[in-house]
Amino acid sequence: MRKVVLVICLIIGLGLSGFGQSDDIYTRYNIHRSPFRVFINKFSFTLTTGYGVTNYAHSLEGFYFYQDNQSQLILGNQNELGSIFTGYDGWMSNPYLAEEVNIDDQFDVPYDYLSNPVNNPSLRNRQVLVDTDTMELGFSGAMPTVPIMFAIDYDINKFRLGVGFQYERQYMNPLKPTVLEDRIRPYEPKFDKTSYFKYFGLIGYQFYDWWDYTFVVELQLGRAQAGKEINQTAVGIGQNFFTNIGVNIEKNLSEYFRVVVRPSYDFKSYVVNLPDATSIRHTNHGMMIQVGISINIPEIPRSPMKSDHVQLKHVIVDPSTGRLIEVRGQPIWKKQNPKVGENHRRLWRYKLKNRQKIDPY
Amino acid sequence: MSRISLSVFFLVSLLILSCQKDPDISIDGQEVIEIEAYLDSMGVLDQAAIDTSGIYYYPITENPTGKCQSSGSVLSFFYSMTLLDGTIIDQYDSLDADTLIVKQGVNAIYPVGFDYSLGYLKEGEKWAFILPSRLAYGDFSYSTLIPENAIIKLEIELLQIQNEEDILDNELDLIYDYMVDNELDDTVKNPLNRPEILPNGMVYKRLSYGGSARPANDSTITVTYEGRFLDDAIFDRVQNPDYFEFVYGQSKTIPGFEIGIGRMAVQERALLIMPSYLAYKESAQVIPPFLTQNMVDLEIIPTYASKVGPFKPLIFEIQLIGVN
Repeated sequence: MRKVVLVICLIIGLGLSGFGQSDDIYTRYNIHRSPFRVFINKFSFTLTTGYGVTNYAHSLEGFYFYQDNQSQLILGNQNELGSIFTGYDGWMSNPYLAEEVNIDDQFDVPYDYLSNPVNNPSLRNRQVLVDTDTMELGFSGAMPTVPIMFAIDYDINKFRLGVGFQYERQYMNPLKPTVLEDRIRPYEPKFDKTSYFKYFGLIGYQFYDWWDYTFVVELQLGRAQAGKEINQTAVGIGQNFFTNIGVNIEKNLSEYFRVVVRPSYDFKSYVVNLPDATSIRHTNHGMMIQVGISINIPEIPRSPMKSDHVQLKHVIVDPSTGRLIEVRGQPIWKKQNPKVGENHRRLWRYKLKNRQKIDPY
Repeated sequence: MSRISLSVFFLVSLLILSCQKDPDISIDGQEVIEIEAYLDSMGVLDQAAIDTSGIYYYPITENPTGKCQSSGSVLSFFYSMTLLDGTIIDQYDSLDADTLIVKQGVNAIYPVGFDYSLGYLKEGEKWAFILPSRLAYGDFSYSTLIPENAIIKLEIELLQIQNEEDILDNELDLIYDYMVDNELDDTVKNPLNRPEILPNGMVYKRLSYGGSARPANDSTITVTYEGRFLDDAIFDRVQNPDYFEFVYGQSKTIPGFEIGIGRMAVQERALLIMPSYLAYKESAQVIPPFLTQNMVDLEIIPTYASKVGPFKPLIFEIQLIGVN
């Protein structure tokens, strides 16, 4: 939290320093601009959403894995095994001690005789017991993820500094075993969906410009707080750090308005502590593509006069105060100083079946 | 309007029909052609009949006056098993020392087509059967000997039909012979007590004294044991430091095992000899027998069937380690 405050202070400081360097033309002709607008104009506000895949994976190294028709359990392999297996379930989110199971083959000598033995359905309840010292067993699965991100950043030449947060909804699927797929069934997480709240600082570098496009590599560092489905008392301390690296591809529709496409990759993990002091690390890296908009609040307002049809930025006498003010003639999503013909939308009569015609009507 | 209704009906029917898939139909159809071509080439197509399960059969040796089977009959037989191209998979005939014995019609024989086939025979008859793959080994394959979806030809000769009482009498005779041959009555050569023959046919002989604690219902029993057949071949053992643990009085183990332990005291060693009806009865017989472990691995038969065959009297030498 302290780091986040520090970053915010840094950004505000930079913003104020930018505000202090007023352009000569405004002082020379005494043209008024709102100090707040000039300050806030230095910041970009970005809102994106999209789709991603979070890959939950964990290794059961150091554990026994037990499976029967009813349950899948783990137990640290430092324990000595008898005929009774006392293991843990819910090791992805909320570990708990499961009921004891008898790990002997119930159809071996001297267990009881089975009537109608051939193809008897009860034979399908075979148990699987794996010591991960002899076999590297783990589970992994891809979970659809919907992210919503909001970020504020300050531009210094080609660098960007900012803060933001992201909400993610993750829809859980069964995790497939890494070995013995024919004998070990996928592990079902004990929750259908979960969410993540991420708070982060970001740093970016604008590494390429092409016509109206800007390419920015962006690194986000911060805290990823899992939803209540993952028991936070079972998660190890300091396990909420995450890193995200992505590329913002920005289409600059105007100097105040951009459409952003952001492919990115997320690195994060958490450790679940089992009641017997053993623990499992779960990685849940994610790959996402987000689409959204990024705006800067204009430092000057639209012209207050309805009769003012000037298309470019221009100076007027404010009718309410009598001061000279600079105003815009365009909405923020259009070019502010268009050349002749720019900003004119293509009419319907030139679209569809008439698109190839020189003179449709 | 009626034309539209007709069209909708036609399209819905088409949709329903197209959704119905039965992969067995194509295999079965192809196999029927193969089987009938084979029977034709052997010149027995006219004699062959097909039953409702899809097995083709024809007699080789008939015995109309032979003894008929009844429910729960125990059968002794010889057989030969081949593919349609003549490749021999297995043979079990008079050159072998013993006949196989099985209980027919209680899902204790694999493949199931073999079980069905046995049901057709009278004592002294020999018939040929051709099993479609779904009644034989399905998509299971074994080395190059049995390919996937193999059609199997069987020739089975039914030697004897017995009932379970006959089998029990025979087993009790064998147990008695074992006691005599091994001089279990001689407490000098074989301490400690003389064998006790229980009313159910079991033999209980204490080999060493134990303490005072005895098993009670729902108590957890810990034992080590060695399981042997009457020829002293060991089929299973759990020896120190391993042990076998179970809850007494809940019929978790075969009846003979629990009955015997019920008579023991902690730290006692004892010898139990039990007829098969107190152990694994008809067990499960895989034909050919060398596929037994494969069928255990495929969860088709119980594990005990790979250790104990049908109608085997068992000997357990047990030490009762603890009662909790």
